[in-house]
Amino acid sequence: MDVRSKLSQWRTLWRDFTGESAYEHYVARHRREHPDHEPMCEREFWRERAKFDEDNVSTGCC
Amino acid sequence: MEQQASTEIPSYTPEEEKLIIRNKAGVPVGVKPHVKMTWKKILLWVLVTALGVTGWTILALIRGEEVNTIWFVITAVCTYAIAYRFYGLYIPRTIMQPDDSNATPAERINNGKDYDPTHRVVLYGHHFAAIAGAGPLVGPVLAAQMGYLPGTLWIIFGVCVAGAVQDMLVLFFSMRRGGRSLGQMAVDEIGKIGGTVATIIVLVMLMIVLAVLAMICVNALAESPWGVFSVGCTIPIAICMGLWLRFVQPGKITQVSFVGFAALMAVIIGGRWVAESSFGQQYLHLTPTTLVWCMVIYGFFAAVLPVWVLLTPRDYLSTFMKVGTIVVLAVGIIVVRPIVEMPAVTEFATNTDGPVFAGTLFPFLFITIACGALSGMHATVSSGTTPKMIQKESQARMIGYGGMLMESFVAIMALAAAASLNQGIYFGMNTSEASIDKLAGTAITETTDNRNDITAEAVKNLGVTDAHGDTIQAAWDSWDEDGNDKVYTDGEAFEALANDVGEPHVTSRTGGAPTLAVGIAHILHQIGGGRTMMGFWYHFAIMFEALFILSAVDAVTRVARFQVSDAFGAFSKKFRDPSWRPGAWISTALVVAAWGSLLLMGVTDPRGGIQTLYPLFGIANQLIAAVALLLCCVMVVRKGHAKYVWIPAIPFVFDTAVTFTASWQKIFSIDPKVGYWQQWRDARALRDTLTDPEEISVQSDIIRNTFIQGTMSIIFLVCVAFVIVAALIRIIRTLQTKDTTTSEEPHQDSNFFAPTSLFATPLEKKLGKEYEIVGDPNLIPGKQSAAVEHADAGSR
Repeated sequence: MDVRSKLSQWRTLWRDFTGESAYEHYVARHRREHPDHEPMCEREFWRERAKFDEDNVSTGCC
Repeated sequence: MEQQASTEIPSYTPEEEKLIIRNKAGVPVGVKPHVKMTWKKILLWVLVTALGVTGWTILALIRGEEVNTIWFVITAVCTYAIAYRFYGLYIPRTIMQPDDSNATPAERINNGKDYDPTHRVVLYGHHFAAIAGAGPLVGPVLAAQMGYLPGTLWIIFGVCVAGAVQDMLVLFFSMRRGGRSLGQMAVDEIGKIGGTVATIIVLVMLMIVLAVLAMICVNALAESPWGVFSVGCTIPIAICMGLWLRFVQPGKITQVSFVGFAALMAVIIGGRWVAESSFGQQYLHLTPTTLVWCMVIYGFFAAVLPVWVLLTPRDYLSTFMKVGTIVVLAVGIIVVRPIVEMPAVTEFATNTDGPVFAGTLFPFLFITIACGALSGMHATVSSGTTPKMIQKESQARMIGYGGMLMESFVAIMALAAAASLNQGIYFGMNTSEASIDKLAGTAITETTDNRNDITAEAVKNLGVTDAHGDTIQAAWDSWDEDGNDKVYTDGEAFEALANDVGEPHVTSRTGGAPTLAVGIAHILHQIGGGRTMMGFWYHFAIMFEALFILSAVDAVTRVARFQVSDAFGAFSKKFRDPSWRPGAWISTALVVAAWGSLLLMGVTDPRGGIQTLYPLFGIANQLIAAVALLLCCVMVVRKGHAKYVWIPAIPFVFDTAVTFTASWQKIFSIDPKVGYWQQWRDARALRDTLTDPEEISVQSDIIRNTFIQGTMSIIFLVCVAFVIVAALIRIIRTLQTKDTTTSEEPHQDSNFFAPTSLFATPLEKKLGKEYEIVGDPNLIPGKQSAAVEHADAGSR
């Protein structure tokens, strides 16, 4: 495996860790499952996500 | 090129084929557990064992020689490796029996939100970030009053047989039940009443935990303009990040976090200048009580504001700091390799005179170091959040057991940082002012007002000796005006230290956070920046701990608010609607009032809040662990593995012995240093003899506080005893009826493949390639974005 693909692998992991890749995952999934209508735009998606997080706080403690 | 390679299904040898688990459609979904011991591997494990034994010998048996802190790291890593490899495999094999042909909740529901099959490395990071906080950093520092050895033994062995076992089992059992929470599982397994009592008691204990965490933060920031400024600035920085992510660049988390992190560094550096300015002198010297009100107001708003404003962006900062600091500290200890200044065991291990926390080694060491060895709080993370994201059942070992080992490692590093400090400095920082005055004696307190000199005298009278058996003396390596090395002693040591870290004073900064920050600064300034950077590193460490604590404060307040709303929902339906704002405000106000009043009580406690309230925190945390471990015992028995129930039962019995002895002593001990009710009686007797109104009010405070603390100890003990009896009845009934009907969700064929451990084996790599061709595209990591690019290319 060359350095480049190793780096892109790390980048994917990092983006998954921060949650940055969430929109891409959503779009890919949406295209597969509902190809008949357009997915939400990025801004809309993140607002939906914030609304969802409102009632789904995960506690970290200690 | 790649296209061609990816269409070829790899071929397997007959031995390999035997190990592969395939579902009904023939798609590979896992690899059967198999261990092949080669000579090379045996030799490697012999070497690891030898190194571990050497480490333990140096830490535990060698006396009178200089011990290097690097041995903490080596010993810990070797012991963890052995535990993970052997015990960590034994438990899945005997009682968990993970089945990779069974779909996990993440695969079953897969809604792209909370149920989301997450790459094991990413999930490990999330799980670790959720369990690790201020607890594993502070506990070991406080426990260092007994010397480094008791804490080291408990942190390393405790995690292997107790903490990591609890986390892994709770994670696994919750995963088999669709990601149900600890409280829900308790209701299912123990019964409605026992389960409800367990849920309520966990909520009350959470309030104590928050109060103590907030108190640590308050103690670290009181009268510290630099700290108040830099930690205070995290709020506007987080809000700016939140606004930017909402309105300008949604989703650009990495960039925004880096900018936020840079801003944090800037305010830490600029903090010294602000603190020394007239503005800082005038407005940022906050008393502990003022800071309590700041915390309470902050906690309220953080919990009622939309998450994107403050909570989410601050979590990004907090995670950044968490990962960053832990890596930097590990590098620091490995590169600098400071010498241990503390003796292995001090006099305070056997008497109750310890100024940091009162009580003997058993049971109080085991409740002081809660997180890091065994923590009940983790059971709430291991049930509920993480199990909804795990890809394969067999990964429970890596996430649950492995995550907790990492937390223990953080605790060991905190202990190493504290152990490398001069003992006089350590005790001078961790003894409350009231105790210092008493120790120094009126002969000194009446002749001088200089806290540094009083403290320096007091530590000599502590009745504790250093590694050579001599009386301890405060000493600090620093520099004189010309930049030459100079060792300051006694009062001058505290003064030099305070100057070096840019604080008005460092004496009686209880709570563990400032001590750890000094320890970290002491190590890290040697690799980055030298003397001028000492203040930076100190405030960097304070910031790191404060961010953890603030994150916990708002997240837990929010979660507790939902629970309170739920409870009110039984009386008024309106409370059940989460979007009904007045309901959210009332519930939040109640939660904040609960921990806020405990916090205020602790901060204004005449005898020092850490010493009185910290044991209650430790007991609460370890009692939750007892409930969680007991729940594991019940589930193991009901699963039909009564033969192996000793695996969760050993830590359960030990933890119960610890918590019940500690509670018993806190309630019934007639030693006024230990027993809350003895303190209450003494204070009442003393108040009746007093005439000075000021002294009477001090005693009244003590009477009120000890009454509350004593009552809480009794309530905890009775409730947990009730839950234990209910659970034991359940176990006995199960054994009699041999009824092993499980509350696990029925088997559902998995259609997903992912490797089990951190590094994929060659066979797993081959299977991964096959899965990319034959598997469900919904579940193939990385395939999704590739699919989008293809679709884009196609549509063009």
